[in-house]
Amino acid sequence: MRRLVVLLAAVAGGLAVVLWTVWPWLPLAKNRQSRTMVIYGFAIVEKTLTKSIFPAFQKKWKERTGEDLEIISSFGGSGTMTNQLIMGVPAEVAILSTELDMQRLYRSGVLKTESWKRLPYGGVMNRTPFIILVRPGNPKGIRDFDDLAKRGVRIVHPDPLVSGAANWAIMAEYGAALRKPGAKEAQGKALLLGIWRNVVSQAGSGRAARTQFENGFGDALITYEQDIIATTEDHVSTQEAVYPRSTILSEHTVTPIDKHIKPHQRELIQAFLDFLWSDEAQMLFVQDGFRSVKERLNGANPRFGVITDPFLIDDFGGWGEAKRNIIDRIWKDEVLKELKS
Amino acid sequence: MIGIEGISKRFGDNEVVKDMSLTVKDGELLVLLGASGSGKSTVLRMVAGLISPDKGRVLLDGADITRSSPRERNFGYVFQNYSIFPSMTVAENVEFGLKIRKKPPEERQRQRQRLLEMVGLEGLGERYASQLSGGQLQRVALARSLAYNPRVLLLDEPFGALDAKTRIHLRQAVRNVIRQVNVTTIMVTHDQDEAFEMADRVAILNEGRIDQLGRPSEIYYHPITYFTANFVGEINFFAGTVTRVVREGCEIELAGGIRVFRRGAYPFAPGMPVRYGVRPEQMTISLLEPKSHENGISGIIEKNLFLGDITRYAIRLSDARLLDVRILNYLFMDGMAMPYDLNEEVWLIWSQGSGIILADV
Amino acid sequence: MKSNDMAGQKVTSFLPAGFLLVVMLPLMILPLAAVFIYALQEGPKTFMATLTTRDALFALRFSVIIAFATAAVNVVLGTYAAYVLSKTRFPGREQLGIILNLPVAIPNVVVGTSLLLLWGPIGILGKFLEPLGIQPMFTAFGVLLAHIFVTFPYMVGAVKPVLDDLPVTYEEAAYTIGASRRQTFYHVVFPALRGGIITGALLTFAHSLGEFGATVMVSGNLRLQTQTAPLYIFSQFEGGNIAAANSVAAILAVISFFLFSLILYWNRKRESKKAR
Repeated sequence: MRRLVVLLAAVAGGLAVVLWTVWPWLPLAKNRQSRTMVIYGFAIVEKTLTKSIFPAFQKKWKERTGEDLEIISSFGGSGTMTNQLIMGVPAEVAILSTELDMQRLYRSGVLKTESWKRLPYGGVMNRTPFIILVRPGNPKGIRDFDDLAKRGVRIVHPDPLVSGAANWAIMAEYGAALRKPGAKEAQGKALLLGIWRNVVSQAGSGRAARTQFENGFGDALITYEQDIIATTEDHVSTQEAVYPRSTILSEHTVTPIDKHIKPHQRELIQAFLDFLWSDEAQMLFVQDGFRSVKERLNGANPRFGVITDPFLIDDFGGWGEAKRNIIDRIWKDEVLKELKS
Repeated sequence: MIGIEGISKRFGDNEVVKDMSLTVKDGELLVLLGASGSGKSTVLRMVAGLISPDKGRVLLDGADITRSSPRERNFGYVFQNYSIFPSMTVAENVEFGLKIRKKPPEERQRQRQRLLEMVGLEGLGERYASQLSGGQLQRVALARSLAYNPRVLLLDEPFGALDAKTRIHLRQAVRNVIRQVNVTTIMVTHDQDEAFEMADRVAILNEGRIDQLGRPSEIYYHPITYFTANFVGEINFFAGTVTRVVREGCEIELAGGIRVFRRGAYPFAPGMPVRYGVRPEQMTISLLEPKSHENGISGIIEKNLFLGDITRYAIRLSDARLLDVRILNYLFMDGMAMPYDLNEEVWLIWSQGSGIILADV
Repeated sequence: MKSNDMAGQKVTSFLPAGFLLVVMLPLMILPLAAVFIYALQEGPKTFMATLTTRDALFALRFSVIIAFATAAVNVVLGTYAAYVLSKTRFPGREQLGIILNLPVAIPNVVVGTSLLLLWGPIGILGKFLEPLGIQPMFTAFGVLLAHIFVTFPYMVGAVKPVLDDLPVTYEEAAYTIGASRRQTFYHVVFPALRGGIITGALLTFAHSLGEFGATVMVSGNLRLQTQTAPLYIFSQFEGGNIAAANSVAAILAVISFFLFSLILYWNRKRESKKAR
C-alpha cells in the first residue's frame, strides 16, 4: 500500500515536471509568436537592447502590423560573435563592437557587400568614449593613460584577440600618446609597452573584464564610459571613473546580413534598422549612457563626462589601417614580443 | 537416435575435436569423459547447435541437423553455472520454453508443477535464483530444460560447481529423473565416479578423439589403450615380455625377473613386449607366499595411509619401484590401527584372473 | 560469501570522514554553498523573480527537454553500442571502444567545433545541405546532436560492464530453450541490463543538463531559441547579473543532487538484490 502511494506520487511528480516543461509548446497556448527576428550583438549593448530597444520596437511593430514579434538574440565578445557568424549562425542583424569585425564578415563571405556602409552614419549606431575605471578614492593616483604605465598598477584588460573593446582600448591608449604635441610613433609605443607591462588579466570580452574588476580584481580597467554610467546606477559603486584628457570615441556598427534575410523578413529588418537611428531609439541609448550619433541629443544625459580632446578611428585612417599598422604591427609584433623577452 | 559423423572443430591453430564419430541410442545416457581440453564440451555444444562444426555432420534420427539452429533442434541443455534467469521466478524459468512455444497457460502451469515435483522443488516456484542454493538451482535448470519435452537432453558438467555432498546426492536425483522421462541424454564430465554412476555407456575422450567407448565395466577392466587404463581408476603398470602362451592363458616376465600368469585367450606370441597392469584394489597383502594359482611379488612396506574405508600402502619392490596397493579395512579391530607395520617384508598377491595386458606399441 | 561476513563489516569511525570534510570543504562544498548564498542573497523574492523571467524559464525548460531527448536517444544507441562492443568480436573492436570513450577526455568545445566544421553552413557536409535549406546547427537539433555525442560514453560506460559480467551461457540457455535472438534480448539480456540502463540514462540526463562547452559552439547561444540553462548562466554572469546566474545555477544543482541520489538509490537496490 505504501509502495503504491510512493509510486503514484513519483509518477504524478514526473508528469508534472514533463507538463511544466513542454507547456509553452503545447498547441493550446495562445501566446504563439508569429514573427521572429534573430540578432547577434556584442556584450556591452546587451542590456540596452534587450531592456529598452527591443521592447520599444516590438511595441512599434505591433502597432504597425498587429503582429507579435519575438526577438531571438545572443550576446558575447565581439570577436567571438564574429567567429560564430562566420561559422554560419543564421543571424539577420549583427551589431559588433568594431568595423574591423564587419570587415572580417565581409572577407569571409558572410556579407556579400560592405552592407553597413549603406546605413546612416556608415552603420555607426552609437558611440562611447574609453575611460579609466579605478578604485574609490583613486588610491593609485591615476589621472590619465600615462599613469597606467606606472610601476605597481595592476590593470584588467580585455583580450584583443576576441574582444572589440580591447581593440578600442589599445587605440585609446596609443592615440592619447600620439595626440600630444610633437609626439611620434615611438611615444605611442612606449605608452603601450608601459601599460601592457601592468596587465594582470585578459578577459574574453569588455563585459567579462568589467565583471572581474567589479569582483575586486586589479587597480584599473580601461572600459566604455557607457558601461560605467549604466552599471553604477543600480550598483553600489566600488569604483570611480577617471576621464583622460584625450581618448577615442568607440563606434558600434550595425549591419543586416542579407543572405540570412528571407524575402518576407525584409520589411521587418528594414524597419528595425530605421528604428535604430530614430530619435526615440537614440534617446534610449543616451539614457543608458551611450553617446548618440546625433550630437544634439547628448545634452540629455548629465552624467556624460568632459573629454577635452576626443578623437575617432578615422583620425588614424579607419580600422583597416589602424588594425594593420597599430594593433598588428606595433602592439602584437613589437610590444607583445618585447614584453615576452 | 543421435549420430555424430566425422566432426572436427578448430579454434585458431588448435584443433579441439578431430574427426569424431559417435552414435547415441534412443533412451540411452551416454557420458563423454575427459580431462579439460579433451574437446568434450565442444562436442556437446556442436550437438546443441551453439557452435557449428568445421567438418562432419550431426544427425537426429537420420536427418542432418548440422545447420539447424538450437531453436529448431528442440534439445534441452543444462549448464555448469546453472544460468537460471535472475529476472524471473523459478516458475517463470521453468515455463520459459513453453511460453516461447506459445503454449496455453493451463498447460504451462500443469507442466511446471509436474516438473518441480519431479526434481523435488515443489513450493519454491515463487523464489528467485538469488534465494536458492547451487543444488536447487541445478534442479531448476533440469526442470526448465525438460519442461518442453526435448528430443535430447545435454548436460554440460552439471555437478561441476557443487560441493561434494550435494554432488553425490544430486546425481542420483538427476539419474532418476532422466530414467523417469526416458530422454536420450549426453552428459559431459571430467569426474570418473560421476560418469560411471550415471552412464549407460562412457566415451573416453583424449585430445579431441574417442579413445574408447563402452559400458563402465568394460572401460574399467578391459581398457584397450594405455591412456584409458591410466585415466580411469588407478593402475600399477610393469613393462614385460611374453614368455609362454598356452590355451589357458599366457605367462609374462616382468622387469626384475618375476613371472606372472594371466588366464584367458590372448593373441600374443612369446617374445612380444607388453605392458602388464594391476589395479591397486585387486591386490592383497600377505605374509605368506602366493599359491600356485596366484601371482605374487614381494616388497617392503614403506608408507601406509589410513583413509577410513581403506588403507593405502606404498610397497618398495626389490628393483626399487613403488607399488600402490589398497586394502579394505574389514579386519580392523580396537587397539590395532594397522594390520601391517612399516618396513615389514610382505607379499603382494593377486589373482591370475585379474591384470590388464596391453601390447606395447 | 559467508566467510566474508566479518571482513565485510565497515568500521564506524568519524576521523576519516572528518578529514575528508576538511579537504572537500574548500574544494567543493564551499563553492557549491556560494551558489546558493549568492542566489538567495537578495531575498527569496528576487530569487523567484530572477527565475521566472522569460529567458530563465525558457533556458530551464529547453535544458530539461534536451536532457530528456538525449537520454532517450542514448538509451537505445548506447545500449546497442554496448551490446555490439561486449558481445561481438570484430577487428578494431577495442579501438572502437576507445574512440567511443574519447568525448570524456577531449574538451567539449572541441566536440562542438568539430560538429560545426562538419554540419555547419561552411562545414564539410553542411556545405551541401545548406542550399537544400537543411541547417542542423544553431537549432535545437544541433544542440541535441552535441549532447548525444558528449554523453554517449556515460551510457556505454554504465551498460557495458553489466553486459561484460553477464555470462554468455544465459543467452545460450535461452537459445537452447528455443528463444529467438529478439526474444532472448527481450526476456533475458534486457532485464539484466535494466539497472545499468537506468543508471546510464540518469547520468546522461545529468551531464546533458550541465553541458556547456559543446553547446555554446553549436547552439549559437540564441536566447529563447537554443539557449540552455548553463549558457544562460554564463551569459548572465558575463553581463554582471550574478543573482540571476546563481538562481538558475542553484536550480541545476538541486536537480543534479536529486538525480545522483536517484542513481545511488538505484545502484544500492540492485546490489542488495544481487546479494540476497
